[in-house]
Amino acid sequence: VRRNVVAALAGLVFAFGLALSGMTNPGKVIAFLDVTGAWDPSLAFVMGGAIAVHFLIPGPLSVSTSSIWLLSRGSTRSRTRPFAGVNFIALPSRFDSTCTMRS
Amino acid sequence: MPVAFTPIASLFGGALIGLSASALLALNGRIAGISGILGGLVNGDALDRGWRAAFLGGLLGGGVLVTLLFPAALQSSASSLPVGITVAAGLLVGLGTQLGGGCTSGHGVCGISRLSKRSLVATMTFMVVGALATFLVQHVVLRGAT
Repeated sequence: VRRNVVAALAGLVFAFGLALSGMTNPGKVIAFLDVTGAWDPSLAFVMGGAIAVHFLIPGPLSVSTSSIWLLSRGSTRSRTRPFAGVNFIALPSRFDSTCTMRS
Repeated sequence: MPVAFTPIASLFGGALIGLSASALLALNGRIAGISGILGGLVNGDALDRGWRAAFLGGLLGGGVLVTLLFPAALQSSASSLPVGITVAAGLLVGLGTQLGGGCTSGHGVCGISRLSKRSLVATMTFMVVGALATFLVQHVVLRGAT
């Protein structure tokens, strides 16, 4: 139950983020991709802000935590390799039903 | 149609998205990739559907709240296209995100934050192809139509 509450709140905050950043306006997304027209670089600021926060929080552990999480799940089911990617590692599937991060 | 450049609002909006992704990863051990969360709801494990539905419920609920509280935030300045084109575009997004294993949130935000090379390549690919498609539609197809 707690897990679902966290997920719902995360979804809510995500929606507020999208609305505040202007990404709920298709015109702004088109304006970012339209580099030869009236270019609007706002979306780059959205990604910059999101990546900066997600990289730093929850602290310096952010990257290592997710690495451990991915590695600990590596022995279960793996997603299929990208069709062009023998050089990529096969990441664990998102569809595993258990989460081993806190076990 | 020109739109206003909003660096501050977009930066803070992005920070909220990053906060949401961090909470989901730190507390639930999950990647906040919207396409993957939706994809898993449709064809994933039944045991896994609860939190996916909860996240998407929160996302849509947030959209409803914003509509009620700040209706101006959800105005669109894009020229409206026929419904058929929009449906076809949505199908292509679904196909592409499943084939590429993620979207702007999963690859662009979460993946690059984890320093994933795969996500960096995916993000650069869909940004470049998106810009090419936009050029074709905005400057070739739509100009030809008017």
